[in-house]
Amino acid sequence: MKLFFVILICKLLKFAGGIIGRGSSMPGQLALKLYPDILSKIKLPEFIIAVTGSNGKTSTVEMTARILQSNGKSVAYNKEGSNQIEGVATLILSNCSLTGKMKSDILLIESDERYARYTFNYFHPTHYIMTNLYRDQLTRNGHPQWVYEALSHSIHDDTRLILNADDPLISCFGVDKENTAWFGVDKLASSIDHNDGVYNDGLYCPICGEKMSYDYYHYNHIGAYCCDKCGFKKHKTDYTVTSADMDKGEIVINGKFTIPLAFTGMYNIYNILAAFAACSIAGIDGEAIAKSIGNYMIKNGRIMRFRLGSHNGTLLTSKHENSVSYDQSLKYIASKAEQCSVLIIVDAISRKYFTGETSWLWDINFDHLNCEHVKNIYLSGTYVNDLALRFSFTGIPSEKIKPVADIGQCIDYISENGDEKLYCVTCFSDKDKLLSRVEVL
Amino acid sequence: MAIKILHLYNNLMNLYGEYANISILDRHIRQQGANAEITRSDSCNGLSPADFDFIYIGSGTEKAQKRALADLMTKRQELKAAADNGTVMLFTGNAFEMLGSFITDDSGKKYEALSLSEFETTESFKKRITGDAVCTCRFIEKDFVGFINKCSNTTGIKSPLFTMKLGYGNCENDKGEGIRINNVFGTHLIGPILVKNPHFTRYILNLIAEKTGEFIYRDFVNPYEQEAYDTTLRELNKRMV
Repeated sequence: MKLFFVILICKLLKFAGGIIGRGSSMPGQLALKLYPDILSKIKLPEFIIAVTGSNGKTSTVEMTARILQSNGKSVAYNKEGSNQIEGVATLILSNCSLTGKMKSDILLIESDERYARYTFNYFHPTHYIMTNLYRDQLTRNGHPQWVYEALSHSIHDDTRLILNADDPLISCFGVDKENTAWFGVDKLASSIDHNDGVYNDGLYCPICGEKMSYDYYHYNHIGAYCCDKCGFKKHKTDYTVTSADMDKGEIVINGKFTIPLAFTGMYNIYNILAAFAACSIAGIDGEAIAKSIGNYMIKNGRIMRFRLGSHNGTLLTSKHENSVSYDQSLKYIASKAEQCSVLIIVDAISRKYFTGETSWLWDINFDHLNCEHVKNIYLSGTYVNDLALRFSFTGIPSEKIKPVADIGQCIDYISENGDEKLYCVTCFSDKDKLLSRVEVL
Repeated sequence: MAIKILHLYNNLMNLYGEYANISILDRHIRQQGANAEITRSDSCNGLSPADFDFIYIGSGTEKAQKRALADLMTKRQELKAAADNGTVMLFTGNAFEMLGSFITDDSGKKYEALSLSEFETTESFKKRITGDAVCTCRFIEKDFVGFINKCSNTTGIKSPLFTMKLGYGNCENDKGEGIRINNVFGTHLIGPILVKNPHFTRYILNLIAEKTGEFIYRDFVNPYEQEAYDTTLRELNKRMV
């Protein structure tokens, strides 16, 4: 009877919250207060797929949901920002009957890395995608090894892991777990023979601590590594991007499924691959997956087109406090031959909490922008001086660097000058400061 | 002659952009009309502390710190001699803990450390201690800004380097943070603290100038350095009202 009432309250709050536009964690939060182990009382679907990792969670979840739904499955999944236990509780309780039975075929959960162990205390996912572990929000997360330890407590024996074989730290979770499914990207034309980041998190073996060597890198420490001392190396992959044609904008998975890309960034390829792996395991045919994800542009506002004066613009939402995320955006810009300018805004470091910590700027390889086709680099926001100081340590000619503290003034200036392609690289916390001043297409 | 800089464990102990401390020091030394010769190494094998005018170690994971410490202990006596001799050194983040007598890890295992001073550090994996920091220093007029990111408590420091106005000190309920032993500076502030605190860079440069006689220090401020510091201090001060 208690279950019935708590579910009812949660549903009513969710409904009311929907009307007044409140966040989706609150109903679950209250439900957990009234009935702390309620999540263990719900009859969950046969497939419970969880997604965690530093980057790519939201996009992987969104693509997985799209594929499953377009192939006739009903999916309940949480939207960005409600990935701790309260958000997951809201998701589950608002999608189950008043008797406590979930109606969907598949429950798909984005889970915060540090809090996954609390959520999965009450039920265990059947499948668990782990995308990557980067230096991400270290002001809360400590460091990647610290997050690894926290995540290790969220893994249970009855969960099948779906791991990124190209990430050494993530791969440690699969050591001695024989039913693990692995995904990864083979050597591509875009692969490189050195780590192109400012720092090298793939230098030492996460198992034994000795030096590792790489056959190739895709970006930062993601690639084909091998420890000569203990033998730890990139695992053979079950789901593999076997080739890619970035000019044409398509990838081939497992040698036979061609997927045209709406966006050629490397991280998009990994997200598609992770979704492909999960959906294959859930029983969807490879051909059908390719059909439902081909040319798909994620709808979560990470990549947006806009117009400013005579400039055609693209917003590449990146994460402050996450150097790999920035590096990926910068490399994407560098990979395009078209003349362009770049606007970087660092105003509020986080939308969820305050910090004045800017060390992460030094972990970003801004030298990726040191190429002929990048004409101007505009810097703006509260931390404009930190940005300008950081850029003074790159090889980029100083006359290209244009710091304008005030975001409005900076955008007005760009609007009135030039007609080249414009990229804006900034975070969720700051992107509306751009979008409110441009014509979003 | 060049100013000889040693950045030890530049890969192993470089979690938060620490390498930039060396970049900014290098730039300033050149602006003083001197030259810097920088040695970067993940091991002190084959290196002698006495050969350097400035030695720097940054923050690493708890695991990396133990590896670095094991390596560094092979040069314990020479480091002690260099410290006694007034060599300027900076240990930031959990490298600071290596200056004490012992570090006890989360499992209770005790690691002998450099013992430049009689203090001890105990790690706990239960909780990460993170937060912005503003602190004062007895011998430098301006406030320091930075960030603490650790999982340990340090006890036994009677005369700390900083007094915290904002942020976590050496241990719980302790406003004291870090230590100074002769010209050796240890603090749990992480990342490029010389970039964030131009007054500290000036202070270190002065010490190096006095010690080496390679240049006579004259004030030199690069664009954006002071402004970046002012911004961070202003933003952090807003949090303290």
